[in-house]
Amino acid sequence: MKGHVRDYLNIYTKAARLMGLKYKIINSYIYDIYYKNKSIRFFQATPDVNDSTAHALTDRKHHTNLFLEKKGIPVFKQRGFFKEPITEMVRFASKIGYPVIIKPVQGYGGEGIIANIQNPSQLKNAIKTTKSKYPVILIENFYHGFDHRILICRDKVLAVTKRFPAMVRGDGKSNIKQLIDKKNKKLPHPITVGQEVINKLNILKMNLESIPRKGQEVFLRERANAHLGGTTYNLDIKTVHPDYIKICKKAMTELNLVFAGFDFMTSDITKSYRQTGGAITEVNDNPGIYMQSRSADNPITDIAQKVLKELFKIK
Amino acid sequence: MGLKYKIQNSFLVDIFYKNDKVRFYFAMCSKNNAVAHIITKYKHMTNDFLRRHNIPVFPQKKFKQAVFKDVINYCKEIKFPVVVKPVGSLCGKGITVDVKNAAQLKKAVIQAEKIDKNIIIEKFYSGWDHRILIAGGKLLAVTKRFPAMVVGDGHSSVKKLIANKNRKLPKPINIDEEVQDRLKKEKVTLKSVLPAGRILYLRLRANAALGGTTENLDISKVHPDNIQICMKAAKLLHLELAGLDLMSTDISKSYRETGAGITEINDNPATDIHQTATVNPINNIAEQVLRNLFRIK
Repeated sequence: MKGHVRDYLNIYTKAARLMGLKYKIINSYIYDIYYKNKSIRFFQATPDVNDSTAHALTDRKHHTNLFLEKKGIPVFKQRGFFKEPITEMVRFASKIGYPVIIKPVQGYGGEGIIANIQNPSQLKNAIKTTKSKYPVILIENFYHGFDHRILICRDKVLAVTKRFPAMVRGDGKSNIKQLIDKKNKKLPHPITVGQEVINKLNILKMNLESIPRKGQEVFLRERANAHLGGTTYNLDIKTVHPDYIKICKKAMTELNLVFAGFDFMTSDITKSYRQTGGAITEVNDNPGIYMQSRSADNPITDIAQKVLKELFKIK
Repeated sequence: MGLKYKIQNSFLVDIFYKNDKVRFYFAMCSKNNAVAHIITKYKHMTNDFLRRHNIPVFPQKKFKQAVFKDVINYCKEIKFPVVVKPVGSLCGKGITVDVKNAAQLKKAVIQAEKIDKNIIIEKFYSGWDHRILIAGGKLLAVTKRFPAMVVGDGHSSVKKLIANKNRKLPKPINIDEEVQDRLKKEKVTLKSVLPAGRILYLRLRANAALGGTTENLDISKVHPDNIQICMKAAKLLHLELAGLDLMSTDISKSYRETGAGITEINDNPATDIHQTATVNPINNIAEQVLRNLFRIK
């Protein structure tokens, strides 16, 4: 979200123009779009169809997690820490079992997240890094799977987008460093080699000089955010197991949401989450639409129009 | 009221009436939408929105990591006195009002930046702060807020008067720098004895957390122009529940005459301001809010 939030005014008003809808720009953040006698006001990417309680509740990840858990909706075990001593955090991690992931309660675009923490010493380092920037952090069970963004407006699933962390594919000749350089020429946000990438290669028992086999996929991060060199792929919605859609819609009803983007972690989205152990990691009441429209392989270029069509219930 | 409700957890409750439902998350209400929530959360955004819709507000500007020269130029443009406030201020912390010159400004900016590096400079208007509560398109309460004050009795010292007053207040008046400044300006000391009936204001800001007091006014005495702009503001922002802060020297006169303006809008107003008012408390305010949100006749 951060960094290009102002663009949403241009994206949605352009979509409105293409659809022949009238709109009014109030200032550089706020705009109204009209259809017949209805109007929807936006603040950047947020439309006014969602209410303030749903907005505030989904803004606090640990409240959302607690709320969904009580409703029998799959989430990972999690706890928020504010002023508690590190020993208590380490004790909690041992209780829920490694690996764990830590993330700030209020953060956007994957900022401050450290994933796949294997042991207490890694955890202590991660806490020090994150705690210096964010007052409240979450410790959660880490699940090995892919992140999927399920975008729903009213009753309609608009897109299911699989998100891949930064990765390279071996050609049998080049080493990882060379493969990254080559890949970066094609990415909007390059893959920068930092501690996370080095750690990840360590886990894979590789380094920057290793030469992957031809066709071998080497993932360089845990997080799939686009600004960290991640890529996206829009799935054929028919291939998504219906349990995912059903449970997301239930969550929307419980949370009073009309428009939402769910982050669903699962190892295989064609199989039910009951089978894969997948769960919802985040609910966004102001979902961005870049990951759908800027997928390198199969972008949904008219996603903004699809959103407006559903928001206004245009047949 | 005989309404059903469901407590979801310690900060979330759903209240039902016929087929309708209102959810409260802390003091936020599901009848208000997310966009209005964001606009009212940012005071400078609210000010800009209202100004563009011809609702009276005081000129203001936000400064990010302020360069003092820019701040002082702006103050000269809107003319002193000004108010300096941090963008993320809770309960009036870090705010300095009635800043009259460059030297005072420098001090005020440092105060504000201790709370938030983003600060707002606003034209200072010396008036009373009024909290206006609107629910479901109906005006429910107009509450005048007084800064911390004492009334002389002809024999007690200011210090004694404050101590007496503090016994009655939910939040005491602390004799801090702001109070000391006020006393100096009023040419009294803590030892001075005030004549009977003399009202001495100890602060400029009316905030219950700082020992302020409140009075619910008779709505029929509020000038219709003032009511009209508050209703219009709530409507423009699509707010079903709103607490508006209107600064006015005399609310029985039109804002056109007094130069009054709206300083803040809360989409999650605390109803206890009206319920626990020092004068004329409205005991059933929460009930009135629900009645109007559900449009119960």
